[in-house]
Amino acid sequence: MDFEKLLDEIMNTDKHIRYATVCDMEGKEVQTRIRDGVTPLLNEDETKETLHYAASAWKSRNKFAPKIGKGKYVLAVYENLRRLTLPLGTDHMLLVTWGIDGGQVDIIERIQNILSGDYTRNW
Amino acid sequence: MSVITTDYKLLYEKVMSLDPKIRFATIFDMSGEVMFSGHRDGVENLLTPEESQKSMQLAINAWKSRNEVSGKIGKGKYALVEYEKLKRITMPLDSDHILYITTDVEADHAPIIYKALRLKQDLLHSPSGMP
Repeated sequence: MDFEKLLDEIMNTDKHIRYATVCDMEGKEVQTRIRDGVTPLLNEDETKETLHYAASAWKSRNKFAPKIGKGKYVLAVYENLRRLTLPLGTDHMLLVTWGIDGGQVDIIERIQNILSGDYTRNW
Repeated sequence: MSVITTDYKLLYEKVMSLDPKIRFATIFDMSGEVMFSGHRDGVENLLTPEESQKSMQLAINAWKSRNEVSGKIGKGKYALVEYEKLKRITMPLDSDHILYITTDVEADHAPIIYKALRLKQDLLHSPSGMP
């Protein structure tokens, strides 16, 4: 699975993107990109906990899929950060964060476009 | 500031009037107690009451998790979940209450979120606890 290429492409979609990571559905990190010069706001343990919870939440959401369809993405907006999570197939999750000065609609659409027409996709 | 004395029915009505594509709105506290909840007339309920309860609990747990890192990334303002058939917006009204909105999938969520955030601001700055 070419997650490295996927993450590189996502990081290139918008300069406001700070961090992008792929984890499995247990929240275990698979690949991560952090923009040069960016200091992560969360420490390692907090990041692990966040990934674990986000992956777990996606598994819970998927239980509603027969009624309301598959979940496409979750955008959580904080005072200092925006965080997008979305499933990559059934076994992985993508988490992307960017600052509060970026254009969120553009970023979400661009990432969805990358995934929908992804030539490297084999997850 | 708490909204514990708020007229939740009136708040619900104001939320539902924000956009005709809002299907459902509910206000509950972090223990899961529903303050007020309702569907737009004529809207089919996609989830059973039990499934709705589970969805609400998922939202509560998600906001508890988000609040754990608020010291680093700021307080959570809102969360948007898009499913194939609907969109769901949740936002904390205060430290103990959550507003939960479900819209049709084709709803333009940005103005709904903006208006709901304004409604929340009005709520928190009104001496009577209501806009």
